[in-house]
Amino acid sequence: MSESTWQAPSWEEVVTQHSARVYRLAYRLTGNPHDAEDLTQEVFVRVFRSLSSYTPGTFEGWLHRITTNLFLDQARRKSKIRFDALADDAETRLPSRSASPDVQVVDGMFDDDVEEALAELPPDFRAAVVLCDVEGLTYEEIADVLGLKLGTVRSRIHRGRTMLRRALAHRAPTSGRIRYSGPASATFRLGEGTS
Amino acid sequence: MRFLGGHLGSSASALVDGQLDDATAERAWTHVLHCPECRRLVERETWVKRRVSGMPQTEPSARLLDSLFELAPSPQPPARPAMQPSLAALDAWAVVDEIERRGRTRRRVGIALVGAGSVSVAVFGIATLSGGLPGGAAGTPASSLTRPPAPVPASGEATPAQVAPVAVVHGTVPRWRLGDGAPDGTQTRVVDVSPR
Repeated sequence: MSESTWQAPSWEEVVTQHSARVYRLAYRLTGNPHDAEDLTQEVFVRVFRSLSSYTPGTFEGWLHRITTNLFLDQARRKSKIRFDALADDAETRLPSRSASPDVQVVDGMFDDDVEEALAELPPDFRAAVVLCDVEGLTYEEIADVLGLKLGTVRSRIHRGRTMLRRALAHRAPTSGRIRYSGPASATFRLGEGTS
Repeated sequence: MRFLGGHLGSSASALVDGQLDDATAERAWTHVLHCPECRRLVERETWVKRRVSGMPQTEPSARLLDSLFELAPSPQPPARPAMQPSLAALDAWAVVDEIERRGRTRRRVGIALVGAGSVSVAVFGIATLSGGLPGGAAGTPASSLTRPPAPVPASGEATPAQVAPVAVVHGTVPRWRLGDGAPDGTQTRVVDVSPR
């Protein structure tokens, strides 16, 4: 579609077509419905004010960028810790749950555990993992949204998943139940090869 | 891409996510087949990725959707080039529309109240005046608390209130001007409640 023929969508179209996607992303980023609604509301306020200056392109990418950056901005303001200054070995210092081989996997509780573990990730890592695994963005797209280099994106996703796996160790398959184990093993060296 | 120390490291994520180019991915998979440590690493990455991507979808509430729709003036006139004005103009129009919407609501409520009041006054007035009408309950004061039972009108005879055929209610400031009767001398009464 050429820019000359492009016509800005009506507000009703914008809300109808994109509100669910923005809310889902906001929910995964914030970790609870109340904050997700606040974030979604703020995103659409920004979208409404900026829609006239939007140039034809990927509307979804634009929304991803606004939503994620608003979330990170809020998270940084709320937090006393600057997570972007997190040391390389941060994940080794985060509290982990000890694996319990006797824990019965209850499917209904598993989603809650994943949500909880995701919500406990530092915001920068959470954003990278959510954009990759929930939104299905490529590393290039995530780098564009977050304003990071590709190597940093890859590192954050890897480290974010490592932290998630540790937090979900009690839910992870063990050698006695399935062919691979969840908890960290002695042979797994954290931070190896991170860029 | 060369793998640090021969192992995948953080490239395991890129491999699981399909973010390595073909040649690099081929080398990585070849390595994974012969390296139990990297194989476990890839399996763990896959396990976590599936857990996160498999979380249930959430939907926005109707209340949230309503609040999002209300961010813009509604309904937008189709002829107006949507979202084309400057940001300041958009904000200005949003404020103007909000003010106008509030104003319209207030006006509607005011008119409804005045209209209802005027009609009530007119009906009350007619009922009061009808006391003097021939055929009405002659001699009975309007304020009488011991009103005798009203005579049952003869068949086809209208009640006093029904006799008054016209009540012209025009405005908000009541000024009573009782008609002196229709020019043809009939007993029709006209109550005209007009603005000054």
